[in-house]
Amino acid sequence: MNRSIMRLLPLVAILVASLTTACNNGGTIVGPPPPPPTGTFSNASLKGQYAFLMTGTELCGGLSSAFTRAGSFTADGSGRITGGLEDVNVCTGVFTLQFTNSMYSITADGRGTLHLTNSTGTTSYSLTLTSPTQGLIAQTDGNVTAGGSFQRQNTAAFSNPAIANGYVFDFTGINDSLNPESVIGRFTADGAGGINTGLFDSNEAGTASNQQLFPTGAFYQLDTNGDGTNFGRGTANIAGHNFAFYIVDATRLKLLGTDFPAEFSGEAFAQQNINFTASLLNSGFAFLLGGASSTGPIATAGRFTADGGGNITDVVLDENNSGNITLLPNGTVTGSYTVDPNQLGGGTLTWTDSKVPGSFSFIFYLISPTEAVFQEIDSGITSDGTFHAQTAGPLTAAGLAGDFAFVWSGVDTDELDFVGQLNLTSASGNNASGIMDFNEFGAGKQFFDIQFSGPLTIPAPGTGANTLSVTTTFPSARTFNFTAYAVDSNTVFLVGAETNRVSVIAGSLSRQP
Amino acid sequence: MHKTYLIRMAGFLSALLLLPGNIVWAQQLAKRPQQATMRNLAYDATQEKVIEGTVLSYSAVAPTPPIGARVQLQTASGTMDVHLGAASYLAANHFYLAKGDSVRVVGASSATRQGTIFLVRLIQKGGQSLALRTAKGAPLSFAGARALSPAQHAQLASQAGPR
Repeated sequence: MNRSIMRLLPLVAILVASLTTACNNGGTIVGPPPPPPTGTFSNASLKGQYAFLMTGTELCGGLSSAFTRAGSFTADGSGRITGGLEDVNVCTGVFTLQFTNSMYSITADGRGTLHLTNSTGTTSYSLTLTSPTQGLIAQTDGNVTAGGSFQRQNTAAFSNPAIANGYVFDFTGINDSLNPESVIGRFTADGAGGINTGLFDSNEAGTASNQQLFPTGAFYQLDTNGDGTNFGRGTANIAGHNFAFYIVDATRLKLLGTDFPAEFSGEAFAQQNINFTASLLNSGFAFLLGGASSTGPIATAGRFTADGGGNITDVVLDENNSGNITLLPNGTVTGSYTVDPNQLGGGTLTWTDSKVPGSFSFIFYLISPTEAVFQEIDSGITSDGTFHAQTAGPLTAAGLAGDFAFVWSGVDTDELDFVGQLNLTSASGNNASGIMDFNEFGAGKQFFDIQFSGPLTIPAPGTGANTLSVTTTFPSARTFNFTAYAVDSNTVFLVGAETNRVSVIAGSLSRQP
Repeated sequence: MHKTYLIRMAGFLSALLLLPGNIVWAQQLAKRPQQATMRNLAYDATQEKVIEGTVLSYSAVAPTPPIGARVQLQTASGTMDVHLGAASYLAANHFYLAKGDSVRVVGASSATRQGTIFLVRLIQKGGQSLALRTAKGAPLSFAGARALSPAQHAQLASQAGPR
């Protein structure tokens, strides 16, 4: 389920890249000593080879700029990173860099720090493990902030033949014309480096492409210089864009665009090998989208029900468009969906609210009948993310009680990236508490061990718009107000804003074991 | 020369071989819905206007949505608010605004659910001009330094910190 988190991040990080500046005025800020962390995690929990993907904002020549990094690191289970490789697409170009002499530390609650050293210097990160096989991560350097995720790699899948059959992808970023662009679609890998049956829909600065064929030249190829077998790295051309990729396993690839000055990143997921029809969409779905509008960042979360016959009902959503909030339902909402006649998993979805101007229109590509990449195509909006089949419910505080890892990204005047751990109890009232690190992009604006608490309110049956409001008291009082849409008792999508600040923040919660 | 020709020819033939498959797939491309014409914050370049005025106030951090820098202008036809996007982008380009400045902006009004806002694509003050948006209306602050020239990128590369 954590894959959904990663799909949101590029989007949010991109939009987020719009409104940033940085200053150099001091060191990091650490909160009051927290209670000793509890849990079963330790340095030994991070052991093996992990692929990561992060997107964010860097300061470059005084200008904030979107950037992305993808790579692989090897943790020894004792606090040392023994090797690794990454590709970065930064404001000065695209580079491949090797890690040396790097370190990490994990505490009992799964939180930790990571320092990666390459020939250009050392970059620093805070992370939270959702399990020993994956985690969420935020970069915590003064002039660079980013968010993302990492997963343990299956080295047995480091070959061309392992990448075979259908894949659905979602990548987003800045194109050569310096416009935000989202591209979602699907392709078939032939196991030998060839790609066929490639289809995609792009959205450039709010203008949709309609479904397109891949241009000629699509391929994928594991590196033959040792980086392929050592790190799972390869190169590919997908939907006309060039990428470096890192294999998580045969079902998942992390992609970083290598065209410049364009900057794209995203993931590809193995697609279930079935004929996709409208009747397969027959449940409730929760969704999360992030992207850009003409004024700045936009994030939307919500839920809908598909009836298997092309009808959409029970739409509930929160849209935060550069601080302007729209809630549905307001009037009467009607909607419909189609699945492409070619049965390759693409489709359309739209709904309207009788009291809200315009319609909400989307493209999707199904990974399976319960999961899809999701792209909004309304005029002026470049936004994408994911939808997941939602539990029938009811969802209760008791059912959600437990520990969660989280990552949020957003914008107020600067990009914001948060990573931490949240504990939910079954109590009514002040039932959420946690601790987080966050980066507000700028020297002296990195905050560590910041504790927070507040209420998660779950109106029955819990599958609609729940609310999570958490407050920090250090270094200053800040309240984050989210609407929380639960996929199930293990995953919750969040969209919201801070009290007394015009902001857009989105992210998700993922249950820890 | 002959070898080059053969390589080009091979590429051409490969493209031809792919063509029948593409025709088949082109026939199967799915139809997509028409985009909504009235959703918030679309930028319509055909509706661009040039407006001249005097800065009555400048706000780097807008107290109300949308996020971004805002200017209130006194024009010949009255006062109006215009949206500039990221204040940091203005500052990084050494473009500063203060009360009393005479400016000229090029942009377009966009409808939002909360009203109408004028989005600025280009701003001029004295002899200084700064593009704030692409022709499609996307803030250039999204791309930041990626909008610089290759020569400027090369210069920045020599100053880069840890990546």
